[in-house]
Amino acid sequence: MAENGKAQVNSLNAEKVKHIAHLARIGLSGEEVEKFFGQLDSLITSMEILNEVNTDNVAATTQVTGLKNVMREDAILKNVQADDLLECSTLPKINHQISVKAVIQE
Amino acid sequence: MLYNLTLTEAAEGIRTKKFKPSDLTHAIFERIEVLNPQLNAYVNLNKEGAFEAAQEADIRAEKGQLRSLLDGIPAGLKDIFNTKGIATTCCSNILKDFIPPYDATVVTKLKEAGLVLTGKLNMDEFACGSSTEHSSFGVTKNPWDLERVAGGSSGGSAAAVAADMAFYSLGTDTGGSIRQPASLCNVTALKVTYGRVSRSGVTSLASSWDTIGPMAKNIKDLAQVLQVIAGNDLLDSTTSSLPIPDYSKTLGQSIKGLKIGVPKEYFIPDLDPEMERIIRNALKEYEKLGAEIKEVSLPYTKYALAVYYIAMPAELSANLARYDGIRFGLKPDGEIKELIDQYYLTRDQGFGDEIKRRILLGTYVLSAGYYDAFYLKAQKVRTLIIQDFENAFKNVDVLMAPVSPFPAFKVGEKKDDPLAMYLADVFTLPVSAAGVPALSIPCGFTKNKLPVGLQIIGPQFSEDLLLKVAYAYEQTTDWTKQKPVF
Repeated sequence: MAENGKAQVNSLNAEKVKHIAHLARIGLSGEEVEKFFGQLDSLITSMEILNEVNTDNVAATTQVTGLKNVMREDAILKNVQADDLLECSTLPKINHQISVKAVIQE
Repeated sequence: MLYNLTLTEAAEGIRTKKFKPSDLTHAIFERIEVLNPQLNAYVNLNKEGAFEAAQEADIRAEKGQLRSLLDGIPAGLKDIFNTKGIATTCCSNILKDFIPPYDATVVTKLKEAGLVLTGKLNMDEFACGSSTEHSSFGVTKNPWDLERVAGGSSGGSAAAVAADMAFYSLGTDTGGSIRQPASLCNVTALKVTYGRVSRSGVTSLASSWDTIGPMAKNIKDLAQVLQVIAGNDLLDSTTSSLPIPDYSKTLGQSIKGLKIGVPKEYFIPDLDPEMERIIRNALKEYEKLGAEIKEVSLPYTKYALAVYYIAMPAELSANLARYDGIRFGLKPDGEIKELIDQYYLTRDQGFGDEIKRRILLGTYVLSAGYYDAFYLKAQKVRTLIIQDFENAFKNVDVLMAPVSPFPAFKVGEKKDDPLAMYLADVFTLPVSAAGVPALSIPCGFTKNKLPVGLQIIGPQFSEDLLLKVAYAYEQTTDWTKQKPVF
């Protein structure tokens, strides 16, 4: 596990790549897992340069122009019809709804 | 030839009734017919729609009722901008048949100004790349050397303007994707301050980095396009409410006394020596114009690559989670027994290798046990990079640096080496991290006749200053008037 905010020594392996692919819902073949493992391995190692930087007492940036709590009226600004949006799906439509495989299995 | 004109000249010709918008549109489509098979800048043409819009503009021109300087002017859009009724694919297999039911905000603004949309322009898939080699529709060739890339990810947008196949175009810049192809193709282009232009209806790559920007034949043209697209948008909560200045007002003003900072961290051994010489010549021109050049230091520059390639894939993986084939996207081959198969197959078949690589990287750095060490760390170092720029701008007005460490490289040279490709953006990434604006302006050619771009960087929301500074240099040189020969 990571300690003291230091990026740990690269501990990526093919099993982890398989797990990450599942998290990302991408179906990779065994060959692809090996290929991406090799590429990701060297990329991640090169990212460890950030360990050189002391970031104690440095706040993380998430918004670069200082915006905060941007609000607007809860009014429809763009009149896009539901059926036009449904048209974009290649799945069958039933009663203005997209029909999908069961989410919860029996 | 009409296609040779700048936007400003074309607009003047329409206004004074020397020619009509349809005449311009004819000329552009003839040019596209000849050159696009060689360059592959356009992935989709809108000939019928363009002529319809041009004919409507003809009537307005006849009646003296032109809506703007952009009225009746043919232009192309990177295939990442939603265009109602016209396929918008992000040059990805997963969206190859996607037809948006609405326009992006900037498209609406341009249409209201009288846009004649020629077509959609090639890009690296989901804007991930620096060469347009990761497009699902083939690479875009560099108009200056057909064996080389046009850069990326807005390669098509740059090539189209460079080869006079559009009077201007729009691109997107997340880590350099407007500036880098512009510099490789001898085009003038602008990465705006984060939030200066609305991203509503434009596919997101990395939500805290993405910007929209214009690409044109010269500074005057660039200012005209920016004037139309900039502004607050209630549909994009990351846009600024700051007023839009008149971007053309300061063009031609003296830059005597301008303080230019030259960051030493951008002049490193990785920078091609010939390019360095050309960049330093441009700086000498600025001295002749009365500017004061001083060396500055942005010490966290070298960490920008790592910051970007942790934070950007993380944000990308979140933004691309929606491409699961349910509401839009590919119908995959193969049997779908359960919901998980739908996701696995769609995303495996729909995404190219570079996208998969970045999604995997992003998912990894955000995953339990790694978030603090990678993503949070990167966002903290990003703060330090931002402070580099803030500190520099206390003492200088603008910074000047190269855009790219090398001129246009050969097709295939870097495609299979991700890290080599990522290094193309070392000088553009820190700017993106800070959300500040930067212009790329042509400043010379290598001995192989490959274009070189000068990067002019300013504080947030200083686009008018950048345009003024670039214009002054442009008027003393003729780089932007150079055209590729076919």
